[in-house]
Amino acid sequence: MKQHEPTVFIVDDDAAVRDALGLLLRSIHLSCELYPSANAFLEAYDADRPGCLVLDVRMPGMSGLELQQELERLHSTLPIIFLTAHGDVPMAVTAVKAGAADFLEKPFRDQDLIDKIQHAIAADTSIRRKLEDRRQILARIQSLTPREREVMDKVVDGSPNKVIAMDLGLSQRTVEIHRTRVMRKMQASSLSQLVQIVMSVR
Amino acid sequence: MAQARFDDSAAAPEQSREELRDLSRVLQERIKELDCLYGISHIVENSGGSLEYILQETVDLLPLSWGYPEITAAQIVIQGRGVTTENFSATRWVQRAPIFVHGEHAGDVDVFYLEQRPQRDEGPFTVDERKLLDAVAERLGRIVERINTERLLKMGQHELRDRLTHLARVSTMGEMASNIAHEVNQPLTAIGTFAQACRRMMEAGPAHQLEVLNALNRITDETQRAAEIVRRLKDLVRRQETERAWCNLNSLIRDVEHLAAVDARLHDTKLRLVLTPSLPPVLVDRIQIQQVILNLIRNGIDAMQASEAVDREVVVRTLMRGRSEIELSVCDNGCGLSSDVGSRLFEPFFTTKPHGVGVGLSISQSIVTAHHGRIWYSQNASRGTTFFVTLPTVSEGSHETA
Repeated sequence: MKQHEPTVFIVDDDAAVRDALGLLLRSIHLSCELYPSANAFLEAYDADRPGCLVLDVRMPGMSGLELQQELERLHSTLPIIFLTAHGDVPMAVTAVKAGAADFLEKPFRDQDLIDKIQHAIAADTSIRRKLEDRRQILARIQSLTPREREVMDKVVDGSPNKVIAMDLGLSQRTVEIHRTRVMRKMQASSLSQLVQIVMSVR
Repeated sequence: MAQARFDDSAAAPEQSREELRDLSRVLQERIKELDCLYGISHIVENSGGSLEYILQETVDLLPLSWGYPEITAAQIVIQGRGVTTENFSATRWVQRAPIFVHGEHAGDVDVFYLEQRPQRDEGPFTVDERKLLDAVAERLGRIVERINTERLLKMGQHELRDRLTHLARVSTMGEMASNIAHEVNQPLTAIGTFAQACRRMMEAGPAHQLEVLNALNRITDETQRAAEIVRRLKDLVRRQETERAWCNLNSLIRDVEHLAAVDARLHDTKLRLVLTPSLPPVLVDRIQIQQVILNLIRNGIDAMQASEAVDREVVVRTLMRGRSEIELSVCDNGCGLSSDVGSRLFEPFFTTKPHGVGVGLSISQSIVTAHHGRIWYSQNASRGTTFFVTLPTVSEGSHETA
């Protein structure tokens, strides 16, 4: 899987505001992409690309709030920072209640925006790492044979080898062999680590 | 005492014949007087309110009622205006009556004999002629009073309409204020952000000079954009007095478009102009006609809020109607109008909007009417409503009074 560098996706219908935001972010060496509408962003949307979304609340066509709903439907976890105009606070509250990372009133201080963006990117990175870990653990579990899976479940539940052998009608020796394979496939170096790994995806 | 007179005449037929002659003379004088006053009434009726006309016709009528019409001249002087008969010259045989307007001596009416005539009650003039002249002077005074009052009333009406028109305009701007504020906020945000980016780039060293320069140009552009919005707003609010000038209707529409576009954008409505190029100019009060256009566009936008239309669009068109009228139409694809609402649309203070004052269309109508134009609406065949405004274009050689 190829690694993406975090990108700030800017969606604003006002060309001047959009370009100014782009320039500001480039001036601090953040990579960014500019979109004139919610639809243009959705067309280019790739769930695998990390970063955050800087989104104007009021736009013709699909509004910022509608784009937020659409991304929700796509199970996107991309953090959203809403840009609002003075007097749009109720809209911003709605957005934050619906899971937006933050909002900022136009016009804003550059440092405020940059802080919020960096915070959002950090949150995104951490979410993605967790998701990736989970994905890998699930893949490891998938690689187990049905018998190994049975043995692992009982190990994690705290059964000693003798009980597992009896429950499954196997010799203790055979249980030990399965158990060693489980530990290797699950990349666990100890029983406690195995328990931790399995519990993290349950 | 009729009884006593009857007895006298029965007793003395000579005397009776004498009296009869007198009576017939009195009667003739009366008829002349009535003719004259009736004539004046008739003149006033046909005058269309023009004092000039009334005075001239009256002065020409006067000699016919005097003893020697062929050598009689007349003159009326009132409120600095003077009219005379064609044969007029001032002589010493003159009969004069003062004209009072609102209790003040405002002028005179004079009758002259151009030649000497035998001595009568008042120089060569009779008592009856005196009575008639006084009646005419009295009549002229009342006429001038009435015309003055009418003119004042009309002026009051004009001024009232102008004030109301201005008020409606300011109230429209008030309704639009939050949207306009948003519109000004955009360039401000861009300016601030460009400036902050510039600072960061310059702090980082001289490598970004070109980008900084470019950003500074954008700042200048955005400053002008903000200033332009403010200017258009100020234009519409500022002036109260009316002033007509030759204007191109299309460019008035394009001016308004900038303000209306703010509303349109925020209400997710497309504003489309379909303007016929090279229209002849119209003699209008620019601000007032813009007010009408803005009002119609905003009504169109509002009409579509209630509807679920996904393709909300207001289309403004101009075209020639025949050779002497320009038609402006504003078409929406909104919810349309019920016949109940439609019939009251132009009534003052009638509104269907929760926060509307209800003067927009009635003022628009009064503006258009004052420009010798017409305003009406019709339901679209498919959906929505179209408002039409026609304005006369003035061809060369014809006279237009503003």
